[in-house]
This record gives sequence, C-alpha cells and structure tokens, in this order.
Amino acid sequence: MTKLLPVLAAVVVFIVLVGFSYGKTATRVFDSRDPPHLAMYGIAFSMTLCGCLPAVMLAAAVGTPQTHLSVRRILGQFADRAGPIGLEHEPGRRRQLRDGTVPSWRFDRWPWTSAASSRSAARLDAIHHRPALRELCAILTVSLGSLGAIWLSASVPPVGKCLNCRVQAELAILFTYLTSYVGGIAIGWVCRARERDSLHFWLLMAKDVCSTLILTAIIVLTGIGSLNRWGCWTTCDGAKLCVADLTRDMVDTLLKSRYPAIIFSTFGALVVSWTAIAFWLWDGMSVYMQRDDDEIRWVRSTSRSGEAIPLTNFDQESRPLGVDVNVQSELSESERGFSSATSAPSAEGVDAEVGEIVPILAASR
Amino acid sequence: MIYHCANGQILTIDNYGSIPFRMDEIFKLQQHAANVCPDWPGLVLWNDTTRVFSGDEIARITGSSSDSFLSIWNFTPYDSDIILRRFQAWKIPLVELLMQFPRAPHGAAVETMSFFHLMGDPIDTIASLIFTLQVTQNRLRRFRSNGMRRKSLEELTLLIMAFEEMGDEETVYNLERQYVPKLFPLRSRIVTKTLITNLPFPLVKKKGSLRIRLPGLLTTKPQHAA
Repeated sequence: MTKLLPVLAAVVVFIVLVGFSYGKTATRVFDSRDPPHLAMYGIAFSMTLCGCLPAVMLAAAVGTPQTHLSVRRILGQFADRAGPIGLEHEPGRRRQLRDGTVPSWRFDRWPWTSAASSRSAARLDAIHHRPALRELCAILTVSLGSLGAIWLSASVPPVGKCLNCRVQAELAILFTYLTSYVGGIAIGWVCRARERDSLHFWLLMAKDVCSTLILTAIIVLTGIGSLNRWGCWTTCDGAKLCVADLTRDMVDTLLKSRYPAIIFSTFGALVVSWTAIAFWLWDGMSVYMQRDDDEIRWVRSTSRSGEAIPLTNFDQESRPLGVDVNVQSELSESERGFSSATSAPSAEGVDAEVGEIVPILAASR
Repeated sequence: MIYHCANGQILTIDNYGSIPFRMDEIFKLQQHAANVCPDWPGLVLWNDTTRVFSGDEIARITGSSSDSFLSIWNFTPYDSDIILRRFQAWKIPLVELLMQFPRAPHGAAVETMSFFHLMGDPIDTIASLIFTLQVTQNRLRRFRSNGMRRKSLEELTLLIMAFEEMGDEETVYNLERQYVPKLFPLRSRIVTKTLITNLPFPLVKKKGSLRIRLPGLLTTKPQHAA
C-alpha cells in the first residue's frame, strides 16, 4: 500500500503531464521546421512503452513484501508474538529464484518446470487454473500501448492504405516484445531442470538486455531523426513527396478530434486493463494492500499465552519446519555469495535479517 | 542543377544531389520550383493546384536513393532543440515512471535483471505478477474454509507470502497444509461460515452442544514443549 499510492499518483501525474504537453502542441502556431506531425510521432513512440505502466502498477501493489524491512517486520511481528521461527538458513539463490521470490519473474508458472510438482496447493492451482487467460491478459495489456501507437501514427499524414515508416517501426517494437516473450518461454523450457537455474537466470538476463537495447535504439534513433528521410514522407506508391505543410489544415483539424481521442483512449484502456486485473484478483491484491505496521491480529492471542508456537511439521515432529540444513552446504561458493547480502548467522532473532531468525525450538531440542 | 523552363525562366537548384532532408527547406524549394518552373519534370500534381516533388526527384535532390526501412543511416537528424524538446516532453517522464518499478531486494544482479526484464519483456513481467497475485488469492481463499476473519486471513496470507518471498517453500507448504488447518479446525466441522457470521448471540461453549474453537492459538499445546 505504501508503494502503490506514490506509483498511482505518479501515473496520474504522468497522464496529466501528457495532457498539458498535448494541449501545448495542439495550440502552438504551425512551424514548418517542427510541425505537429513530429510531436504526434513522438507521442506514438512513447505510447509503445506505456504497455509497461500496468506492470509498474501491479508490481507496486505486490511490492509491499519485496523490501528487506517489510519482510523482516512481518516475520518479526510474528516472532514477537508467536515465538521464534524455525528458519535457520537463508535459502540460496537457486531456491529463491525458483520459489517465487521475484514476483515479476515467475518462470515457475509453467507446467513443465519442476515447480509444477510444488507441494503448495495454492501455487499448483495457479499453475493449472486459467493459464491461457493470464498469458493473453498480459499480451493484450502490453499490446494496447503499441496498438494505440500504430493507430495514431497511421492517422498522421502521409496516410494511405500502406504501412508508413513509423507504423513499421512501431510494429518492430511490438514484434520485439512478442519475440522476447516467446524467447523467454523457450529459454525456460530448455533450462527447466532445477540444476540449470543459474544458466536460466543469465540467459534470460542476456535476452532481456538485448531486447531492451533494441527497443531503446529504435526509440532513441527515431527521436533523433532516423525516420526523417524522404522515403518516410511520400505517398503509399512513393510517387509524391508529402511534406508536412501540405497537410497542415488536415492535421489542425485532427489535433482537435481524432488524435486526443486515440491517445487518451489508449491510456484509458491501459488503466481499465489494470483495473480489470485488480478486480479479477482483488482478494490477492487485498493481501498486499493491508498495512504491515500494525499488530498481526491472528497471532495476538498467542502473546497472552506466553508460549512459543512450534513452527514445526506436525507430521514430522523431529524436524523443525522449513529447515533444510543441507541446502546451504550443497550450494556452490558462487551461489552462496549471491545470497550473502542478506544472511549472516546471528542469535539476535528478529533484530537480525530475515534469514537469521534462529530456531530456538530446534536448538533447544 | 540548372533547368530551362518552357516559360523561359531558368530553375537553379544549388547543391543538387546533396541537399539534406529538412522539412522546411525542402518545402521552400518545392514552392520555388513550382512557381518558377511548373513544367519541370521533377514535379507532379498533388491536387488541382499544387505541384510537389516526385519520389524519384526528391531522391535525386537529396542524393539518397534508398527508402527502405532498414536504411537508417540515410537520414537527416532533427535540430538539437527539437530532439531535446521531444525527449523532455514525451520520453523522460515515462522513463522516470518506469524507474519506479519495485525490484526484489536480492542483490544487484536480481535487481538489474528485474528492471531489464520489465523493459525487455513486459509481457512476461505482467504475466508473472498476475501469477503472483493468483497464488496469493488462491492461498487466501483456501484459508477461508477455516473460518478465520477476513483481516486475519489477509495477515496470515501475507505472512506466508513473506516466507515464499524468502524462497522457503517447505515452510509455506507446512503452513498451508498442516499448521493452519490444525490451529483452525473449523474446516472439519459441520459449522458453516454462514452460521458463524449470522449468529444473533455470542457463542457460548456448552457441554454437549456444538463446540466451536475460535481462531486462536491459546488452546493449542506446543508440540515441542521442553
């Protein structure tokens, strides 16, 4: 909740800012050197990136437990009231990545990953319940920005029944998104075995860096003027040059009607898309939107008892719950180094890092 | 380039073959050519009154014959003030907004990857976030059957998500499957949630009657008490 409000405010400010900039462009005196056509193209290319906005808003909603402090506070409150928690090691990167610690990279959502044999019923349900709807929803949300951009660029002269340079570049951006997505699935399938998690991570990083560089190059180059050449200012058949001055009256009219409709309906569609996802998953969202600086009510009564809650496996009482003492020793040096930022043995309990909460119950046994 | 027009005038174009494609200058040149020499073969009719450069002619004037999409090196950059204005108005605020993307605090590599994953593969990012919410929602709804209050459900689910965030699936599993059902045993009783929530009087524990253990841990004995 603490993260979501600033991000929502930033999104609203951004849309208002776009509105002001648009108003300024629409009311400006026509300038042959910098015609409104260029401003519309600029907006269109920015709109291709706007597909990422719902991702930022969703991540902000899920983001509450993503910080060291909040996770530590939640577990700390639990430990304060319920007694020490049986967790004596910091899971290595291999476990962290596979088990859903990066909410924006859940490759464990595919049925072919070893996580599909996860024992968590909630996760199994999510893996097998409406996977196509989830993926289609994501594809559609990201495509909305690019489709709006293509619609806008196709409406700015020179127009005709052909794909002008801008539309081609925006299609290239959309194609890059889709290719990157499919590439990510392919990498995930190749590296589906648990022992290939590190390879998976670095391959995916390389793929995403390449994809980001391609997208950045397209957007920066078009901003500098890569499409400022005669081939991009001719009619569909290439027979006539159609400089901006020729279509000045037409653009002046469209600036007051069609263009703002396209731009703000695209933003509106993105907001609606995010709202629809929030509505669909409201129960899930509500978990993250609660404030975590209050007492945890469901364990409040335990403080009165003064008894420590055994976070143990009820069926295997000899083993503290969640403790797998062999995992850390099985990891390689590099993997240990990866997670070392959050772990250091300590007996300080909740005042230490999350992974340092020592299982007193286990020790006392 | 010098061209003798049918009307007796002479059309002269300096730097013919190497004129940069600047919209305003090309438009002025086009107007000049149309006024001086309407019959020049480099011009074609745009409408009944206006003549414009033909595609072939503008290629000769600028000296760049290629107009394919991939010929990105045959372009004329905009003036710097136009470039800066456009980046300032449309790009920088958006990039600033995208930088607000929360990243999992598991070291520089994971944080870097999270950001590149957002920029390079937003579809997978959104699908993953939806999946995370689905898991959370499923967890919350599964616990509902234990008869806990909504607020308690949310807190417990958040706690379990915190364990999942740490990558400790074993703990998550045990909390989901064993700890919670044992502490909140209403699931196995005939009492429905509707009955609990609609009772017009406070519940009293009475021998021989329906026994309800309210959510709480007071009566649960630690399994590992020394």
